[in-house]
Amino acid sequence: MITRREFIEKSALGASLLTLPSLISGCLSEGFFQNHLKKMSREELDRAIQRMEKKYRRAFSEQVEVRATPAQEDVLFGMALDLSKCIGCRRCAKSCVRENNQSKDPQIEWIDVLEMKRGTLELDRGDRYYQHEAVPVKGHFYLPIQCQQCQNPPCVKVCPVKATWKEPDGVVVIDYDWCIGCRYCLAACPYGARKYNWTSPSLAANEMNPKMHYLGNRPRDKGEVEKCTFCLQRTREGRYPACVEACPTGARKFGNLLDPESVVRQILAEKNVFVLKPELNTQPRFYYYFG
Amino acid sequence: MVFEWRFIRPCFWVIAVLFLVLFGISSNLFAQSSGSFIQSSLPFQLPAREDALEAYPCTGCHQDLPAQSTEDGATSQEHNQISVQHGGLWCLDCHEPEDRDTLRAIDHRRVGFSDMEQLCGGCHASEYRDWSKGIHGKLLGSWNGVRLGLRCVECHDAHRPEPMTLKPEPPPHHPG
Repeated sequence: MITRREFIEKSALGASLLTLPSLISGCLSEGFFQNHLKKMSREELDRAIQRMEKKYRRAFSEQVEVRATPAQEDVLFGMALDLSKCIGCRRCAKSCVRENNQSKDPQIEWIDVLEMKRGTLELDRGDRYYQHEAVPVKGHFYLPIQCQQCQNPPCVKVCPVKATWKEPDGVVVIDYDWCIGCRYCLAACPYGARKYNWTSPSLAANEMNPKMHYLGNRPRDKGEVEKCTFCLQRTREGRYPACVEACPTGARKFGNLLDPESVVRQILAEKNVFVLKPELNTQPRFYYYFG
Repeated sequence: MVFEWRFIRPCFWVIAVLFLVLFGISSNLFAQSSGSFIQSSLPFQLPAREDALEAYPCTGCHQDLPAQSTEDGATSQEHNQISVQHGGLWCLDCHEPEDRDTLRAIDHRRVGFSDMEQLCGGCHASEYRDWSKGIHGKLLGSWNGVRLGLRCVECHDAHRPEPMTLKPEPPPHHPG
């Protein structure tokens, strides 16, 4: 006859013996000890990328390729958006979802398009959920908002583990594996640009973009924060961000702020540009203007 | 004979006039080719417009056919799908009646179809200025390499310009 006490003791021992190997192997596996991206040696980074590719190839498709292309020298990315050209068609937001492997359910979209009444710039009066047969609607203008790639980013300041930082080309990035999901950055961002994976994101293998970047569009996990990165998997290789290519009216312009010949610099010189919430001294590198 | 500057002095005015005449001719030549001059200074590349036109060269028909358009806007059988609703313009305000393979700018200069922005810019000056700097209009290609531009009519219908309207993509899910 086994006593109650013995039963509990033995079953606890058995359970711990059963789970111990997986616990130990989990701790010993390299992924568990993966360092912060900026602290990795070249070999560690290569191994980390191989590990990621293996994981994503198993989960999605064989074509997955993860890169960690560094910032180009003498480049500072900036975007300018002509609010008098934007018609609010949301093509930018949807192309961003496809390019950057955003979750369908729960839905995550890095770009919010606000429908604004003419004559006001109060962001909290903007409507994200407008539905019309055709846009633009008379008496309104449309204001797309995404990460403003601040020169002085409050989200970076509040991160307790330095999982988010500003790259030399001005893009604020996140090491998704280093993020602990405390969401301080969501609270700190005055633009609502950061999105949190409250539950496991879902992404269909056939809808996935296999060209990935370590700090860009590789799939995120539950408990990780994500946001716009100016499509650095594209822009660091000379291409335009997906939203710029998708915009049917050419309202978005992208380029190097350090190059006086770039189109963005021409806009800064010619137009009355403004940034959102300048009083907060975040110094966005995302410029709006009425062309 | 030794060269001396004082020999030059009597013919100074002759040289000056010669110089001015030569300069005038060369700058005039420059102005004649201003189409290609402006193109080459654009911050983006453009393919030749003539290649995209279905029935180019227009003289294929029009060397035998006279223009049948009339001031009230009635057009011939071949062009009857076009109804011009662009300010108060009619066909021959922009299409050169003397040389149908070209267009007619606001100052009655002949410009080729590939230089049409000079025609459009005659009225839409600020749009033309922005376009020539890459500010107005969509750019494709590469931000640090070859940028590909679009000509006015590749977005705007020259005969019936209308603001673009689209059905918007579905809104994000409401959290409530």
